[in-house]
Formats: sequence, structure tokens, C-alpha cells
Amino acid sequence: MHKFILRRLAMLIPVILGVSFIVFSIMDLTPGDPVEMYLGDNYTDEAHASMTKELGLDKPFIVRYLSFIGNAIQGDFGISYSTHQRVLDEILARFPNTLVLAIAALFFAILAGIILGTISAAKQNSIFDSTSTFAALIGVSMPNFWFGLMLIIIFAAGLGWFPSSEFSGVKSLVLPAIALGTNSLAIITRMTRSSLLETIRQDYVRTARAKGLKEYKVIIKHALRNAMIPIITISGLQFGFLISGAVVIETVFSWPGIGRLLVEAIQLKDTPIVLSLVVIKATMFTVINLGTDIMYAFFDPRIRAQYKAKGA
Amino acid sequence: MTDRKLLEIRNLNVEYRTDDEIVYAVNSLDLSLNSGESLGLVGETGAGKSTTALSILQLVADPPGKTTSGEILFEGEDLLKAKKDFLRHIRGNKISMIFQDPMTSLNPVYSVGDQIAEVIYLHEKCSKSEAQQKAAEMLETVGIPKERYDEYPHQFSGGMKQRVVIAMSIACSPQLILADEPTTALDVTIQAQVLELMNDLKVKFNTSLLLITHDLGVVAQVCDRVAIMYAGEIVEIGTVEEVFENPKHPYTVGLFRSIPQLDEKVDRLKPIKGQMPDPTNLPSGCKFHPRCPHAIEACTKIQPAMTNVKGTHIVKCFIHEGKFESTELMEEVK
Repeated sequence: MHKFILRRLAMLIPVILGVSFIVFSIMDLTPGDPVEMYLGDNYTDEAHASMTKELGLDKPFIVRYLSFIGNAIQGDFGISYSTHQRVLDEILARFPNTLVLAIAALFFAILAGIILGTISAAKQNSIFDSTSTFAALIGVSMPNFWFGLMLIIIFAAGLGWFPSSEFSGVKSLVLPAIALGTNSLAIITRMTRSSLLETIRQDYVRTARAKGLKEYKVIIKHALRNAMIPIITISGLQFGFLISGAVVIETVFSWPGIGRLLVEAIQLKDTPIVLSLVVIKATMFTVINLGTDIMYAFFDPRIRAQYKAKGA
Repeated sequence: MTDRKLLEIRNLNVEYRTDDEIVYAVNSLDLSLNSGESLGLVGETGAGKSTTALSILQLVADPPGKTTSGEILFEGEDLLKAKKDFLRHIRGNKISMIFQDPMTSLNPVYSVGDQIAEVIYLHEKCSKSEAQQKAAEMLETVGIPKERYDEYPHQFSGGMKQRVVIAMSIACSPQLILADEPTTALDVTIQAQVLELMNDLKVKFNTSLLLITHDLGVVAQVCDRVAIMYAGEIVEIGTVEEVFENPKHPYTVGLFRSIPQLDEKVDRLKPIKGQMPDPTNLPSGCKFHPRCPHAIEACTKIQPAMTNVKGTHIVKCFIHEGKFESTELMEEVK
């Protein structure tokens, strides 16, 4: 198992090299002069030339790419063209916020999704089931910025239960996490329901009933555990989206995360920031995928056996 | 063997209802089983054998299954009217079930030992570790070394899995085991081992057994009595000697005739002509009459009654009711 994890982590290296090369190329090919961004409106030709040299932009493409990689390995991600701050500081100030929001949203989506999906499947075709199906449909189709605004209007502006934009503590996390997680919640609910409906009809579930177990134990212990694989898959994917796709929600709730940072950096052609953020996201995606695979092994001994066989 | 009735099924009717049709799976079935006795329930695929067994434990999937009427008395208690708590107390504890396909009847994500321990922990007031210890002993009882306690079903062969299922079903020393074609999914050598194991355990624990099968050879090897089922009804029932040596019902006779004899040279096998009737549209009168070589007009209209021919041998056929082609029956038809 350890060998399996190490091997998967080693695969991060080619992934990061590939992703950073592609993003570096795209940033280089798009129009716009980063030196202009850096210097602002008023500058002399000499200043432009010397700044070009200072930022290393006079060197050939491949040299610039390799020096970025070389510096990054040593922990130096360069200086932002727009804010003149160290890129690492900029990102470290914001990335934890994004991570916290994504984890809160995912936690909410998985917890509520599995509960709702399980009840729907156990009481198939009941009123609860059709209501949750309808709610899931709304949850998937509703734009989350609109839902976020509605939450602010009702729970922040109207009832005053939660802050709308203040960034402090657990309370300020509630509304953005719900707004961000609702879409995933709907998807996880549907996936749980359909996966569970399949396992509920399996022979081993009948065996569990024949043992005299209580119905909720039959469902949770015997059927749900077997239904977990597709739920884990979809949750892992959702987590990836939540980490990278929070731009709109971050804007609505004035949440200082990396989503907004990235959009701004792309507009300003701030290559060091864009590149670093994309590398972080690629790393996160890979780590989440690895986490998903490890979860598979936790829930299914057959997959565990496969990993052991491969790792040996 | 005592004469006390352990299980008594009276006038059981089970249907499967789908949107546009009703499948009549079990029709007015009567059956009883003494304690310590083993009864073979024989019939073709679709005759309602499994449904009968499942309805004893109320495990018929509902929807679409529905028990429309009847009584299933276990130790005098009607299981069809029993509360859920009482049923759960019976399941796995007093009545346990061995399912047809060992490949799918074990949960793939729990170790075989824990799956056996689960039922012990549930019904015997003991600690988890005691349950685990007893589960390990049960594994040994069915011939699996207890070192394999922590292994998962995918690490076992089909025959070994069925042993695990058997260990699970005998773990709480039930009074009745319902074995639904326990050897059908296994190859012949393993079949023999499993049957021998079940025979041994039956003697050892004095358990009653309802053995569902379509293999008459298995019945001869394991059972005291045999019931022949056709289209959801029992058409003939008696001790193994009575039925095997002197089959009465034309269907039973056909079944025996269709078994090829070793000492006889034949060019073609002798199947019973025709097909099982469509369970959504059962024939009137005797359900077997479309395939019966002796059928007369009365058979198409009136249901024959269960008639005791000799000893405990009971047959559902006009020929043995003594009314066959009698004027009395002709009158009734008109």
C-alpha cells in the first residue's frame, strides 16, 4: 500500500511538468506586454528595456521556462507582475481560504447527499423520494451565484443569522459553503440513490435480512458500504471542481480565495501567479485522485488486494 | 423423531404483481414439517419452490411480491401476522436460510468470519469477541481452517463459500433450515461434500430441513419426506420410499420416467411433453391437465382434492380419488 502511494505521488512530477509547460506556452503566446503591466502607464523606453532584462523576458522561451522550474523547485515562484509581491506569499494568503471553503462545501454535500440519497433509495417511489428527486433537479440546474444571493438576502440581510461578506470564523463559512455545495449535493444525492438501489437488490442484502438484522442496519452496513465506490468517485470529482471553480461564489461572498486571484491574474497577464496557481491546482487534482483511490481500497477489500498485488 | 409439528403452512397464496399482470407463484399450498425431519421440495424452475421458502421468513421482495392469504405456523405462531421484532428474532436464529448462489449471497466487503459472527452476536447474548470465537469454531465445523477467518469472499471458491453460508445458517443452532437449491451452483464433487456436511449437521444438531431442489437424487440422499410441486401447488407428498417406489401423480411419474436409467439403452430421453403453464394465466381445473396423458374432461374444469392413498402418501389427482371417469364426476362437470 505504501509503495502504491509513493508510486502515485511520483507520477505528480511528469503531471506538473506537463501542465506548467502548457500554461507557460499559452501565457507566452497570448498578446499583451507584462512589462507594461508591471511599470504602469508612465515609463521611459530605457526603463522598459531594463525591466524586460530584470524580469528575464529578453531570454528565449525555453530558457525562461527552465529557469521558472529551477526556481520553483527551490521554493521561489517569482514576483507578481501586478502587485510586485512574492507570488508564494500572495498564494499562501489565499489558498487556505479556498481549501477551507471547498472542504466545508464538500462535507455538507457528502453528508446531506448520502443521507438524502439513502432515504430516497430505501423508500423508493415514496413522497420523500419524489420530493428529493425534484429538489435535486432544482439543485443541479440552479446557478449558484443566484442561490448565493438568495441566501444572503434571506439569511444575512433578512434574518441576520449569518454574516454576508464579513470574513471571520465558522459562521461566515456557512452560507458560502451551502451555496457552493448545493450543486454537488444534488449530484451526490442522485448518485447515492441509484447506486444504492442497485445494491439493495443484491443477494447478500437478502442474506443480511435473513440473519434478522434491523432494516436500517441492513441498508447502512450491507447495502450502502457496497454502494460507496461510485459515490466516492463522484465526490472526488466534485472536490476538484469545488477547489478550482469557486470564482463566482468567492465574488458573491467577497471570499478572499484563489479563484478570484486567478481570474484577475489572467486578465493582467501576470504569468508567475497564473503558472503557480495552475501548478497548485494540478497538484491538488492529482492528490484528490490519489485520495479517491485510497478510499476505494478502504471500502472494498477486492481493490485493496489489487493495490497490494501491484505495489509488491 | 417426534410428531410435533414444527412448521405448518396452510392455504398459502403468494403473487407477484407487476403493472399489467399478476404472477400466481404459490397457490393454496399446504405443507407441514415435524421437528428433526427433512422434507424435499421438488419441482421445475418456476414451480414456486423458492417463493414458498422465502415467504416463510417473509423475505419475498415486496413490491412486487404479496402474500395474499394463508397461515404459516411456526411452533404455533403465525409468521404472516407476526410483528417485525418477532420476525427478526426468528430469522437467522430459529429459522435460517441457505441461498441458491453462494457466489452472490455473501457480502463482498466483509470478512467471512465477521459475517458469521454478526448473526451470532445478534441472537446470542454474548460479547463481540465471544461471537468471533464461536464464528471461528463454526468455520472449523464446516471444514474451513479458522486461520481463514479474516479472508474475504473473493478469496474463496464456490464450494468454500457455500460452506461459509452453511456455517452462517447453523451458527445459532436453528430449529429449521430452509435450503434453497444449496448445491445447484456447485460442481458434482463439491455437491457430494456439501450434502454430506448437511446430513452430518442435521443429525448432530437435530435440525429440521426444508430442502428445495430439482434433483431427485439429492432428495433420496438427504430427505425423509418429499413433496412434488407443480405450478405453485403440491401435487404429491409422502415419505421418500412411498413416492420414489410408487409414484402416483402423472407428473411425478413423468419426472421419474424422464431420468435416464443406467442399465437401459435408449436413443432418446423421455421428457414430459409440453411446458410449465404460464403463471400469469394458469389453466383451470388441475394445473397439469394440458400435459397429462390421462386427462379427461373433468380435469379441465374441477380441481382434484388431496387424497390419501396409503400411509402418509397423499396425491392430488382424480385417478387416485377413486372418482376417475365416475358418473359422480361427470355430473359435477355438468
